[in-house]
Amino acid sequence: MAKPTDLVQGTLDLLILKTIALEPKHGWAIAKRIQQVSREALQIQQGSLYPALHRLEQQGWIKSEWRRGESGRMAKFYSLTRAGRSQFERELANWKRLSSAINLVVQEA
Amino acid sequence: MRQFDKLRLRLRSLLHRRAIERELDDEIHFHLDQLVEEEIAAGLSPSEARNSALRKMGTLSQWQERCRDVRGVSVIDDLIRDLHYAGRSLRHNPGFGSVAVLSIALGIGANTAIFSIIEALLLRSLPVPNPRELVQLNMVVNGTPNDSFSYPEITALAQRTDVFRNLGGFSGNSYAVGPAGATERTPGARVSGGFFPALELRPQEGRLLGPEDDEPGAPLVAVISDGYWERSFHRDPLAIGKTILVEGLPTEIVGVTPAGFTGANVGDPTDLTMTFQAMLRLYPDRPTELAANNHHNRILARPAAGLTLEQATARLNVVWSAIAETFVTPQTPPKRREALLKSSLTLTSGATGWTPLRGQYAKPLYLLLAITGLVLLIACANVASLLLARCTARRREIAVRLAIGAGRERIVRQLLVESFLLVAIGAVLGVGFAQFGSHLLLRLVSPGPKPLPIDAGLNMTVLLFTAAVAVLTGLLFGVAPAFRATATGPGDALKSGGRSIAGTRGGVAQVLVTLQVALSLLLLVGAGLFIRTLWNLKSIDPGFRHEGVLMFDLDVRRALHATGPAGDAQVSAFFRDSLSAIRQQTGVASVSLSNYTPISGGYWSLPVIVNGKSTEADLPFYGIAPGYFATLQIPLTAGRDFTMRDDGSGQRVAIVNEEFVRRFMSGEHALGQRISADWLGPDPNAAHRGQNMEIVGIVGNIIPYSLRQGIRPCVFVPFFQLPTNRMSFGTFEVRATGSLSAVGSVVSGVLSHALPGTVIQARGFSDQVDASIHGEMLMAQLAGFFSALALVLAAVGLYGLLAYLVTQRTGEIGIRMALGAQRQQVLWAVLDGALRRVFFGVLLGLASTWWASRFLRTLLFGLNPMDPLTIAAAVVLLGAAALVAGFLPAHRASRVDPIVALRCD
Repeated sequence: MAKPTDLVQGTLDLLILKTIALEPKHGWAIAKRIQQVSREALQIQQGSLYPALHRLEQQGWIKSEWRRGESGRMAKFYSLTRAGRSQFERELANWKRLSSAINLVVQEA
Repeated sequence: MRQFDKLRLRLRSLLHRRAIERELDDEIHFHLDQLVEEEIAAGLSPSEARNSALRKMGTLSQWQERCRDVRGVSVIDDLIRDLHYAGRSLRHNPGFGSVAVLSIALGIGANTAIFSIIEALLLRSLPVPNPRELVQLNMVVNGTPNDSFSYPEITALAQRTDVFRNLGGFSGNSYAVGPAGATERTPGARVSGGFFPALELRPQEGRLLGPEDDEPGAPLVAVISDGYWERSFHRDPLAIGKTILVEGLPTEIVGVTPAGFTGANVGDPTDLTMTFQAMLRLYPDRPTELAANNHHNRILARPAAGLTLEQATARLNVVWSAIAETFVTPQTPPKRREALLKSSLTLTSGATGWTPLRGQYAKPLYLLLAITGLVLLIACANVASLLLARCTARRREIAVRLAIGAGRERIVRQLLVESFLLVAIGAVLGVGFAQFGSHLLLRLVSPGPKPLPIDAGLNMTVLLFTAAVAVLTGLLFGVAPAFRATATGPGDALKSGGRSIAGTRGGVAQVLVTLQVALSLLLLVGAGLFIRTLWNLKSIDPGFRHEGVLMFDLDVRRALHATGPAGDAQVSAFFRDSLSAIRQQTGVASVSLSNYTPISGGYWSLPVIVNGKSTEADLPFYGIAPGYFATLQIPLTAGRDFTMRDDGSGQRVAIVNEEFVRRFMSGEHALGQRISADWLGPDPNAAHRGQNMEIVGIVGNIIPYSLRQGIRPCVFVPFFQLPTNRMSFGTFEVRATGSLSAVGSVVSGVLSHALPGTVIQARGFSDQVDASIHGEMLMAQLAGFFSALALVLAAVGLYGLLAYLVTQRTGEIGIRMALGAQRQQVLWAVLDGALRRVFFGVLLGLASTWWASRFLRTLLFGLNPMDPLTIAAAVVLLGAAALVAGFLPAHRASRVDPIVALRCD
């Protein structure tokens, strides 16, 4: 299982921003979604997820709101703010540059 | 916008703590429930699912804490909790708390008190716009700067608008205000026309003085201070335009200076300001007031726009040499001529105004600040050792907290909060002490009966200083104990519990005690040096007996409102008549009169021409009446005293002292020789120039200026030989046989009978001599007080350390004694440790004394800063204190009962 510390520094933020870019989600759903999309390769620990969410909210990139989820229970849904969207684009561009650079190095013959 | 949102969120986090906490809780429980549902879906029973979910979630509280951390709430939250905790632990330990708080309060209070005086006297800017622009002018001759200028120099400089936007001269004066017979002495200033323009002050009412008021023949106008307006006119706007009598002449009040402005002369508040030109009208008896050789004014100026200080100085000096040349006339004394032509001008910051107090007090005040700083350091070391000892006692508590998961930084933070709580309480108390202390100190440092008129209250600068000192103090004594307390892992601390093993001997505490000893030695040596300096000065024989002599100072010309030749005769007659009237009073052994008195701070000095050669230095002159030597008991070694017939009508005469004969008339027969001196300065009326005086007597040596400067060649001339138109001030010296106060009131009665309406005060000659070494007395007292405080603090520190070590080692001592160690040996073992600390402390103290000695040299008298006697005495005193402090715990250690000691673990 990939521990959060095994994630490249800052990638958790990117994963969260990407995951809620389409529609607002609560913490549980974010963790599940990342797990699913990564085909179980990435398991987000709650102990990292929630502090990260709170930090992103504190930085003004995401906002939260309490509403009823699919099960009918109240849950805290996170969504991107305008600033969060541009931050997401920046981080995405950074990530693309970084990963392609790493690919260039590790795939060199 | 985003910054604003962030702030809003943070504020929400702070203000709605409870709501946020609940949300966090709900959020986590939602997650937990989802997990449980998932587990149930996977086929577990509800209780199994719950257990498994909880396992997967890990320590809930820990990541809740991390969520709080990122919200930045926990810092404040924790702080509040830490403060509660710190307060509780201080309340539980009132002994520790009060000793710590009190030592900090004393240290911070002393520093704040001295700093508030330094701030008021040395650092505070004048209350004018852009004070940093102001410059003060100094004339440098042969490397010696002099800040005094004459009126013509000021007007010549003020015309150079290419160098100075505005330039003004000023000096103090005391005006007699009110109708004749009911005049009131009003402290004031005389200024040039450029003074207020240079300060760029805005009047509070009316207008301030300008160049047009400083023209010859301009109407008499005055500007009053806010305080004077309040006291004398109850802030009546109609006071502007009112005419008051100044020195008997009608003068119009044209304006009020802004509140807070009391003149450019700091420590000499001004209530009434008039122009220099007005002085000629107010004081017709002082025709040389504005003469080129009358240097008693200081200059403040603002350089022309765009000029740097360097550019202004460079331009100024080009201008100055031309100006200086115009002041050289054939009458200019050679010394002044040389000084003028060789001089250059420098500009120093004028932001803080000018005061003679600065030169006098700057060094002692900074030295006192250093001393109190050291005392504070010692107090810090004490509190640090107390905290260390306490932390050791709390090791088990800290170990438990570490073991149940508190982060180390969390505990360090909490211990630091405790330290800062101590400091905060100490600082608040200290500021209270300082409020009281600075007034006490001001009264102490003031040479006269009235405290120096300095506003040394609390203000922003002083409070900032105190805050900075407090933070530094907290860091100094708080950090080391906090880190040491948490240095051991929870396992170790829990294992050894309260029992200490021989390895821990309070390493940091030992260093602290060594440091305290070193600092105390430094302070003790300093105090010893000041005490011996005072002693040396006190045991100097000034050459005259001032004990039992009373003095009465009179400005007779003013008191009699005497003017013109008739007035001259009146003044002269008053002095003659008063001498004989006083002589007849009971209790008066002898009486005399002089224009100056030795060791008064004021003097009259001139170069003397002996054998056609002028002396290099100016020599002190005294105009004295007959009986002067008898009154002051100065031995007449040859020739005769003056008589009332030595009044300038016949051969002019003089008496010199032995030092004069030794220096200037070696081997010659001095009696009957002629000397001359130009005692009136360059008087255009040359009748008094080059007076030829026959030496008719030789007297013993006296110290004219100050005890430090020692004996000088002196010249005495008959008081009544002085031209009568220059007679005005005089001091009667009366030697009393009975009680000083009785004779004082009798003589005051005689004088006030002759001068109705004038306040006459007797003062003791001994007080004048004591006042001259007031600064040294003060340094000796204050340094003595603070070093005694330091010694006590260091002794308490040493005692505390040893007592703590003995408690720690009770078990070990018990074992030793059970194995056959004698009480003596145990006693010595403990004392040995103490003395070793003291020894290293003394070595360190000697090194720092050697380093610090360079700063003391100029303040001492008659001894070297590394005076062996003083140092030996300090070391002995410190050693004795250390022995006393060490003996008590050592004695207790030697009384340890091995059975009890071993059982107690």
